Amino acid sequence: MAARRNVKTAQDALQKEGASSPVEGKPKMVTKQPKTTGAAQTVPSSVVAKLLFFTFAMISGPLASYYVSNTMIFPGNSTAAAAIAAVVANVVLIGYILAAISEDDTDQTEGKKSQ
Amino acid sequence: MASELSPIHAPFFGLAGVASAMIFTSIGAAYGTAKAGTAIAGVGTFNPSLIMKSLISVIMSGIIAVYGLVIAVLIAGDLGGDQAGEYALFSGFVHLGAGLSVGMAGLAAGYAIGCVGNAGARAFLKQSKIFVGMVLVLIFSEVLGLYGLIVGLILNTKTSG
Repeated sequence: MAARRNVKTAQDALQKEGASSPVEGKPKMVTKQPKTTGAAQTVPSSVVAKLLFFTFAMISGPLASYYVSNTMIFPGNSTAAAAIAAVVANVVLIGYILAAISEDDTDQTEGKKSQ
Repeated sequence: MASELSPIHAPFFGLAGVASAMIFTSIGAAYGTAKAGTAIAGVGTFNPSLIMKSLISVIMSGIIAVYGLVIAVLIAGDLGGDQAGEYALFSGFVHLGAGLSVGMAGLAAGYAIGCVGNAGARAFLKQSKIFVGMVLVLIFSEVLGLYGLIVGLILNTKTSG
């Protein structure tokens, strides 16, 4: 919080120097860190972790279930293994849809609280 | 080795089935991903919080490619023929049919997912209630690829049995 208060004093210092500060008029999130304009700063780490999890699950889930089912659960019955792989892919899809819906609900509730 | 029922050119059709299963589903998945991805890039500049929901169509396009991959791996496992090393011409035709069914169904499903994902993401920017309808139509589009997968799996059992 001390850093936030120093931002205003820094702006005052800029205005005293007569420099037209481009920081003014922008939202507070930008004035907090005016130097960092990268996209990585705006994306929350939880969203990145969720996307990485679903990417990994979509790539490795069906393949791993296919080979595990083909070698351990139903040895030799590759049709059942293929069906299980397709089911696992759809389970990952349903999980992603539920995750997307829940995240949007939290965003809306947070927005209503802030308003 | 080569007989009347298992000629030397029989594996050509099986290999064509493997290739068509993987190639056509990948074409469909690529079209769906690209078409939906352009809409996501357009919507994300206006409202970044909608990106997560708009990515559902991209995930569904990936599943279409997974279907083709499953059938291609399944057919490739049977290309060696029976215990005597005989690969019948009937097996080649069945594998070609299985690969073409999942490949063309995946191509159709990917095309539908791309168009629905594009229009749905752009409409979702204006009206948030369209999300349920968009997901429902996307699921119906994705089920088209699932039908091709089911037919491919059933066809594949006709050779080993």
